[in-house]
Amino acid sequence: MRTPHLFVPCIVDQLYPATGIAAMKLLRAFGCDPQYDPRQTCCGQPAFNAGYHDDARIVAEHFIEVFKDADEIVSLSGSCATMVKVFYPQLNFSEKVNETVRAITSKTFEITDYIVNKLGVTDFDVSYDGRVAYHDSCHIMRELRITGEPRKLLRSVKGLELVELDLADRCCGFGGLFAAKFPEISVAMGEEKLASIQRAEVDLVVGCDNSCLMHLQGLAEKRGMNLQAKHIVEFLGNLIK
Amino acid sequence: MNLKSAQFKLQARKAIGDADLRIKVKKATGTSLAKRKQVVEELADWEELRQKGHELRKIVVDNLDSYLSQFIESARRNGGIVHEADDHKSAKHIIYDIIRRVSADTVVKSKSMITEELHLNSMLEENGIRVIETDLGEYIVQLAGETPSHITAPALHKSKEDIARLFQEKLNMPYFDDPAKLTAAARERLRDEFLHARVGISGVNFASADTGTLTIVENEANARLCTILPEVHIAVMSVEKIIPSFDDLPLFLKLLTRSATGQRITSYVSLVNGPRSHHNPDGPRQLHIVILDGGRKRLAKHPEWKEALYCIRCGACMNICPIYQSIGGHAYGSVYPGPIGAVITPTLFNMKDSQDLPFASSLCGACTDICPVKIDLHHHLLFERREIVNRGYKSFIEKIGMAVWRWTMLSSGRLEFTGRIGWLLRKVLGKNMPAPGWTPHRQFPVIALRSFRSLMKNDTKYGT
Amino acid sequence: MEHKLLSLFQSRVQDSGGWCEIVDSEDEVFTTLQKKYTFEKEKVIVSGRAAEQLRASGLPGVDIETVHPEERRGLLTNAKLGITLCDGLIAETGTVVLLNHPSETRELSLLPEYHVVIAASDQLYESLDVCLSKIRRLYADGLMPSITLITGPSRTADIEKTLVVGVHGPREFGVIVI
Ligand code: SF4
Repeated sequence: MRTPHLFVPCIVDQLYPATGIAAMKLLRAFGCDPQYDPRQTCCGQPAFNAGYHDDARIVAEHFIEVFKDADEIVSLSGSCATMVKVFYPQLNFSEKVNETVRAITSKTFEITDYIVNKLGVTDFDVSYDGRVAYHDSCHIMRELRITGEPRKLLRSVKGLELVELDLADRCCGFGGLFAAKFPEISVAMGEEKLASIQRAEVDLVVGCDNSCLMHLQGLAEKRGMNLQAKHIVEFLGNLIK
Repeated sequence: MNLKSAQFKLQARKAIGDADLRIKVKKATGTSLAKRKQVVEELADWEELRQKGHELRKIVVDNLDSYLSQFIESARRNGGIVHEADDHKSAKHIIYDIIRRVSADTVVKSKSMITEELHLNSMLEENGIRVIETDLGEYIVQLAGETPSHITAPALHKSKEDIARLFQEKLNMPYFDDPAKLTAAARERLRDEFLHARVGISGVNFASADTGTLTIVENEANARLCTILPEVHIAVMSVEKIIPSFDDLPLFLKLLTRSATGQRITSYVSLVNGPRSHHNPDGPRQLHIVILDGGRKRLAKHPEWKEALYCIRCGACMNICPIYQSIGGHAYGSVYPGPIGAVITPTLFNMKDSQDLPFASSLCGACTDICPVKIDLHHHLLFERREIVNRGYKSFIEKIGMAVWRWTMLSSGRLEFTGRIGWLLRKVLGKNMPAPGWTPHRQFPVIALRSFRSLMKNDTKYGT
Repeated sequence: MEHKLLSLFQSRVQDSGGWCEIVDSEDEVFTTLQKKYTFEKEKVIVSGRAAEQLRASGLPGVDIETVHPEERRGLLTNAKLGITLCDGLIAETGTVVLLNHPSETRELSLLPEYHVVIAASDQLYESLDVCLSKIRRLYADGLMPSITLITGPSRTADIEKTLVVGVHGPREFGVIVI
């Protein structure tokens, strides 16, 4: 039996625990025995993106310490998986840590990638009646090049109509610290995404990063727009009886 | 060099407030992107071409000195007069000197980003020389007393109504907002200038090291007029415009024109191999080639920053960038706006003044995907953010904040504690929860009563 | 194969806003031009090497070689049509390649309102790569003249990305392939 170690990013842990719970449920439904190590905190991305590589490295070392013995690490965020897989190698670890980093990099997976390509699940017996759009977050789309897997999972849901946004490959404007440093630009970008969602006539958008979804949801609420932005795992997990 | 980039935040906020500007920029960039898509998708080997372009640009930048001397030798053999300028000041001086020596009082100019970088026009004008920009977009921008807002479409921030008003005011013409009529008016006014100017200045898109060929790409024929009719042609380029060989031209033309304007090739491509020789019926008697370093040789030696020199100035990264689309080019406060501008302005000009630029990005990576020479643009923004922090340009408060964040994240207990305080605040303050930069633009999310880690304590497997 | 390339060239010239006629012999050049344009002969200027080729079948305008060099520029500025030969046709892009030939000033393809190129079908290349490397081989031991690649008429999209044809150069561009 596979024993994937769940990597629950700080935002999911503190703001969206339901995503984590749904992930446990899904992985168990697919025959895994998911592990959770409560010592975990954050991958270090906020500091990395802000240019504070030393701070990022120190927090990353904590992550590495927690996950070093895991067989497989499954991330509930495409962006945090990117941090580990793409950006850890850029941090100046000591040679000794670097070896562990190389190992960790290759055994970390974004969860939809893991479910489709590692567990081989492409079809499961759930149904949903309605239109759903998938939101491609930039890190998962352009750094990890994962676009087909989440769509495959959504298409396997009976009755679900997967709608493509006309601005599918456009950034929603979240961008981590960018959202708070340049709120006007971030909001302008988010509004365009909302307009695209409106044109698609959907009121449910799912994605692989709660952070982008939080930005879109927050914008929509402020504008009184009827929109639910949900993590794909939470959406799928809730469909399982 | 002092940069307007220092006021980026203010300028960006102002630009965002200008709904009109946003519509104009969106429309223009959207048109270019759609055309680009068509002609790129018809090439099955586009990805390989990009890779090849990247490799050739890398070879040149890695061996800049030797390619430079090879180019200079070839250009001199062809009869060109080559001037090397270490910095902006000496480049301007050299150009002024050439003009003065033929006692010309007017120069016609075709598009050149290097002359924009030099602020050449204002220097020449201060010295009593009339400078006439002849590219339609540049002409418009010059009439308006502005600077280009895009490297390949200088007047992209102006609507036809803006231009009609401008022409009405500056050229004493009746108001008409028909692009064809406006273009015809510019043609009529500029024709005479071309015929009488004794000096023409142009930029250079590519300079082939092996044959000394200068390649100039354009659509309007103004560059041909500037480089063929006057007695003296001054071609201004920076050191990294060099490509290894004449044989590489078809590749780079393909990458450039398809990315820039979505054309398979532009209307005109001039391959200049020297001044008029005794059996030529036309062309300038003197060809001066002014080659600017301006800090580029320094960049070429830097393991990370050198990659920005691969740029062939197609402007596609600007068109695709959601930030550029939202604020236009002027807000960047640099000759080079958009993603490549945010990458090259801090390293080439002044990092302190332009320190906001690398941060003004959501790091979406659309620029990197579109760049015809595969510059890893958005990762370079990250490298520069690190450099800006390392140089100590960031505020004390931010540093403290980062230290507190680090301290919190080194213990799951402290993370949990912080989260619970957040929950409490959200509970008490409700929708008025203050989160600088987040609210008031967006609703603050509801913080869960119990975090994932605390819920997991009840999980049969992990329960305590 | 050659036929396919030729029709690709023709359609690419049209794509770029120019026209392209394919004729059987030199004799048809004159009539083709007459069908397109009705300019007085003085307003049509023909390059030296084009004049040489067309003379037998009927010169459509003034041979520029017969004009005093000092007067050429003035003449060309007021001309309606400039006629040149060329040194290559590129099918992939609909481009004509002109070398800076001693008897063919570049001003002919630049100053008059219209520019027409007389070409031969055996000048056709599939791509720019092949054509430029051939030109380079041709001048392997001497200086290469300047080369101009022309694709369609002069154009701009600097005002709201609206295409306007005829800016500073010719407003119409055509190719007659023999
Ligand atoms: S960085 Fe790349 S996409 Fe941007 S202008 Fe330069 S070549 Fe074009």
